[in-house]
Amino acid sequence: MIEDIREALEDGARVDFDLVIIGGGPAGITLARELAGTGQRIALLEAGGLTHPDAEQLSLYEGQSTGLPYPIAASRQRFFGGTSNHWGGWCRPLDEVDFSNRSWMPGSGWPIERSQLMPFYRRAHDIVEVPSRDYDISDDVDEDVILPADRSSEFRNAGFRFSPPTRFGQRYRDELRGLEDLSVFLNATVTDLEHDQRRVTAARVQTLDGRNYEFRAGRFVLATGGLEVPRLLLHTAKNDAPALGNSSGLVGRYFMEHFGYTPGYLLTRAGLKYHRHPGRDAPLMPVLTPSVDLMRRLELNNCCLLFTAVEPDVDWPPEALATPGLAPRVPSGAWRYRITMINEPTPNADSRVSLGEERDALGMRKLKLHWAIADRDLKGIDRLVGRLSRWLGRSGLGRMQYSRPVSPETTRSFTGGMHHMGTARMSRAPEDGVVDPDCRVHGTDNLYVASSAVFPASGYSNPTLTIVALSLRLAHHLKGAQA
Amino acid sequence: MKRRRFLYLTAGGVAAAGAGAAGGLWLFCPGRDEPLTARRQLHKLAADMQGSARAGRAWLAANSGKEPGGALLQSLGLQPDKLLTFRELLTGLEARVAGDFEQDRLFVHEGWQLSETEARLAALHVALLGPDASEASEPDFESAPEGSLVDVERFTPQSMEAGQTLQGDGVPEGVIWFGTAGVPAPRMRLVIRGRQLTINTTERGFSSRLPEALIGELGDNPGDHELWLYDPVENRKQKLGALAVREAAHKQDGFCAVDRWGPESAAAGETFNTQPDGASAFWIRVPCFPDSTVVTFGGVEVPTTLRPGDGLITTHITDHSIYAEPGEYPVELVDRESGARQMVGTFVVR
Repeated sequence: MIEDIREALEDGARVDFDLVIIGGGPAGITLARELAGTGQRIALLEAGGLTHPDAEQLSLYEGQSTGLPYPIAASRQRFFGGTSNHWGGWCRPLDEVDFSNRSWMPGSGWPIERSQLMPFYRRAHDIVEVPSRDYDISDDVDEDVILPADRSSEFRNAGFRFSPPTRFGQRYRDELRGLEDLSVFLNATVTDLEHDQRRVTAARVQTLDGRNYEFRAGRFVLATGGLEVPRLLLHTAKNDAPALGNSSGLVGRYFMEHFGYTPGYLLTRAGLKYHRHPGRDAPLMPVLTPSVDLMRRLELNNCCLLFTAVEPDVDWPPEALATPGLAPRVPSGAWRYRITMINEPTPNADSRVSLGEERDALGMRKLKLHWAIADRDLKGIDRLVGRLSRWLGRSGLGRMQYSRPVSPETTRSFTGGMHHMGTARMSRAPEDGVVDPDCRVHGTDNLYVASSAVFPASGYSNPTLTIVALSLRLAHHLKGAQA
Repeated sequence: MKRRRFLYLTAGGVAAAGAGAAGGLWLFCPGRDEPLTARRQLHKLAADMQGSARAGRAWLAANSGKEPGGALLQSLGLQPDKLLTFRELLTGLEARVAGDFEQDRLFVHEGWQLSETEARLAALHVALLGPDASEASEPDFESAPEGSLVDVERFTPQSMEAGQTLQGDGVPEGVIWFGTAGVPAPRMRLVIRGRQLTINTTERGFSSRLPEALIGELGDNPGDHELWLYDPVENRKQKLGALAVREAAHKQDGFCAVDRWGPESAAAGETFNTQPDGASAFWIRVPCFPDSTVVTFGGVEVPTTLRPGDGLITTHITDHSIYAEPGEYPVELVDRESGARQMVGTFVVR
């Protein structure tokens, strides 16, 4: 069933379940679908309703931004389906290198390997309805619509696939309604977790019209986004005891965002298609990325580059490049392309979510976000752009216009992908993170996190596919633990 | 863009084309790649460059007193009087340009990271041609040649009335939509009254949202307004059709008789004339009606769109509960200002 909690339960009700999932986005809905039918009574608590929230509900997501400008409220979706409601559908698993401990990148490294997630990635593709799992785009595009990034180039071509996009709240609503052992409660905002430091005993739920409920269960999963997970965890601090999972003070730290940047333009072969297009088998979008070897040598983060054809420039137009001897591998005309980079940030402890002093209408402290980009990330962009320019020039493929060199000033114009990651990072040891490799909050017996908050490093891929894969993996773990 | 081609006089050359700034006589040179001195081959190449004036002047400004031809010969390791073919020159040039990038011998002009060698070549072009150096020009919609960019199957709206908003069938207010056989590249622009608008592409076509100021401008200028698709990358344009802007109708005080309307019946609870978003819809053909007209269904006011220029009123019913029960429901036009009513007919819910 799916019900408004105000109609389903009496004010002050105390109810018991085996599992309480907090958050009705891609993670929470995936968990609910996976675990339903396993003999557990499951409650899925969604803070919003079935449609866009009104202004009063939206105000609960307001916060203070103290770092780089960030649209805190606009980047979130407070209704059933969560941020899948504004997702663009871009899909790509994280790369092998994204999981690795990179000596040149502080804070990198997952405590699990990509291979451990692969079986779940495969199933995640079905859930987000992506028609192809083939990310080796060389089979799916004509070679004249991408740059010839061979081994000597230090770059390679990669690709994104696309979900329709799947709006989880709409797509799976009817299925969830039909699950007898699942109860979905709408307008149920969890404002606190009752606990004895090791075990969470209850989730306290409030509504805007002043009703209160208590959900008791054997296990709890925080399946909210990368901002609400640390906010809820930080609210669990009692008296002098630290918040759950926060013995090392890392809850809320390492907030990461895929930041975009437009360093300038390329002048190269006409007709490149580094944008979404039908492909031979299924829609895809090629991107250019640095090779792992280049990342290692130049100490770069992972990133991808997209090229959008734009009008030519008079300072160095296509006809100038057509002069014999200057660009022999541009045989039939050149176009100018705007370069858009999607960058992996270095995990940065100074980039963080914390609690402000102001409280929202439910009495919760509003969050404070200090989004910061490490200096090394700016230098890395500079090195990558230089390398791209060198490759194009020496290989006769074109030229680069580096019209917006990175500087501390240009960071003010950085935009994020509305991907909130890293604020409850996964680690083997409690001193290095917030959740363990099974996504259980360190130091607790029964509190788990299913969210991009657990990403210790983010690559450049959109997080939704990985969130769903991690949720499937967590469901697998919980089934095993139950057995 | 000025496109002057200067070709060097050789012993076999015949047709004079113009006088080069360096004092040589530039002629069309037929196909054979005759050996020439390195200086002459370089001059031939430099003089023939296109769109390189700005970069060349920038190099000369940054290297005052330096003679680009000599610097170029030196960097290519060529004696001025050495005899070589054009192909041999290009082979050396390609290697040198690649080497410049490999070893960071770059000349940066307005952010363009150029090889020092090609910048010198551009400078030589300017030195040879002076004021006739080849300038690039920005792509220009007005002068762009016409060509085929996309196959348009239909578009909406095709007309609007002055003082009214732009409203097509099944598209949001202020948006014009084109159904096409292929998908145009997202870089293309829709051009109306000289205003270039970005487009949003889908698998079935593309759309563009007109700014309110442009809609107002259209309303102030009744008549046909050409709709163009423009590709600024290839500098080509295609006429897609025209948007007809009609004079504002005089204020209408009463209703004309209803010509036709529909649908007139539906099964209980089932949507009728179903719209893309799942809404049900009536259409009512009536030649005239007040600006403040709304449609009522069984006494309930329903969302109404007025298209006086087309003599058409449409509705968009998302509250499906109003026809959930079988029965007969009067459909009326109501003038909100005067309270006047006009019966349309009776809708039967089976």
